[in-house]
Amino acid sequence: MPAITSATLDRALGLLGELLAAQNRPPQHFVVCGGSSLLALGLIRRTTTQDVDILARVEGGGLVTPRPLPDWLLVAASAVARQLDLPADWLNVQVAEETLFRCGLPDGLQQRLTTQSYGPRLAISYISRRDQIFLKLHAAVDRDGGRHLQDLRDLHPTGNELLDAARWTRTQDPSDGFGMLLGEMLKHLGHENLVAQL
Amino acid sequence: MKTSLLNSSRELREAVVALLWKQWAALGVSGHVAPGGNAVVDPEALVLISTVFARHDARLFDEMADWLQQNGIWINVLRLTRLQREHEFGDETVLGALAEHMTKNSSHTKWKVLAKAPPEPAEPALLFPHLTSPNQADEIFRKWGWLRSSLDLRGLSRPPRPNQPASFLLKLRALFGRQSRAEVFAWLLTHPSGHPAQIARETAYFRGSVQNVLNELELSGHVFATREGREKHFVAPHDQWRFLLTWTQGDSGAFPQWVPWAVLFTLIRRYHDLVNLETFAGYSDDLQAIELTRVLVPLLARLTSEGYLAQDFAGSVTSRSAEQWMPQFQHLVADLTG
Repeated sequence: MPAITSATLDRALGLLGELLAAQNRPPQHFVVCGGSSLLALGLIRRTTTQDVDILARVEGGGLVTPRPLPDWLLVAASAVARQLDLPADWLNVQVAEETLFRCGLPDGLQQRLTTQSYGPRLAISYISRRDQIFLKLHAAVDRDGGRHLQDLRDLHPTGNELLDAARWTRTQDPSDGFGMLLGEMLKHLGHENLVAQL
Repeated sequence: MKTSLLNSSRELREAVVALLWKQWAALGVSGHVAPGGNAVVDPEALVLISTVFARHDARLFDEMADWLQQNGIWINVLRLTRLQREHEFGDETVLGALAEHMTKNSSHTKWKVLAKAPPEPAEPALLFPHLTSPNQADEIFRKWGWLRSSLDLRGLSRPPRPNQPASFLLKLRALFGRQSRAEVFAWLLTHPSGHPAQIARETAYFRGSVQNVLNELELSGHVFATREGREKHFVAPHDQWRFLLTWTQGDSGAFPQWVPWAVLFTLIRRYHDLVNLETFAGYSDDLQAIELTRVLVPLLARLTSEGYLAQDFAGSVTSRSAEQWMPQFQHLVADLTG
């Protein structure tokens, strides 16, 4: 299964939007993070991603959990996947964990969104570089580095940005274990001095 | 709509109208059409698809109405209703108007069931979209939502011709009656063997009644059953029934070809309706492909599972745009209809 390039991402979301319009579905507005958001905004060197991570749904002027996605949207996404030879779960809400909404998304995330419309029935808002740093730091600590750590490095966060991000991650997981792993990560990133400021 | 798609759509419609002329002529409508092909006509499927495509040829439509008026007793109205309920490839309002005209003749009382529920009054549409609005409209058709001039039947239709492969099913109805026995027998004589579920699915009868007919036919000693696992397969040895081949000389002829007309006509109608949607031409190639795949691939899968299509056909058209579908689709229709 080929990875998703920036052009494929645009084609896939465009097709999904077209399909929702053709089927006269209610308008959908999602907030997307992760690799597809980095690709769409051209924030890093990365050229492909595996999927489109839906972080939230924009509803009533605020952000709410996108879970569960309606069945008809999943059916439409499957049709797009088959047509464009994408992974079956190319559009998913795995990242939208319940704790994010219970403990709170980064302050001001909604005001920093960049929104793109894919026809009259689908709008996608991509999170900003600052919010990517927050989520990528959390994911890198939580899931032992990997591509999240590489993305975080590619975003070249400043010390202050990392400190804000680290403080936010502690609101998500205040456990001692997570605190220790976070400290190790900051040292790994060359910002050992931030550990004492947490 | 793109010119190529428009032309292809028109070509398909013209090909279907030509096919309908050929089938109706074989059954006995008036008109000089060279009979051809070796496929058995399914009369109920033919009536249903004609309510949609014969609207593009007023003469064909009226000759069909004429044939039905004179030979409507050969149509199994219950089977026609079942086919329409399962596949929805006919137009119920056109059928309703035809049925109401027919029921003016007391020999067609069974058709009353189709003429019971005209639609709510609304602005009528032209029955023949290529003709202008008539000065005086036919009142029955108007009641069913259609504008056309008065239906004047010429009375030139003939009874079904028994000496053509196309009318094989009507020949068997004349021999065995107008219930499932004729279809079951026609199916057995056009296939090497089959099991009740398969025959029921392809003849549009209930499995139980097909099973009963097959069990009774077995008692005649001219139809045989074999067991394959839990399934009972039935065979009508073709050699014993060659006297039915009245259109060939000697022993060289073969029984005609069985075509799953209801599924094939459904495929044609859904394709035609989809590509002629006003919005369809504005779709991207990808969306056209998704919509064609969604609407047509389940029908192609059915034709494949019943052995009428090559295994890889559905795969060869999935995810293709309408312009890529059209030639494949036309080949498919030509292959299945001879």
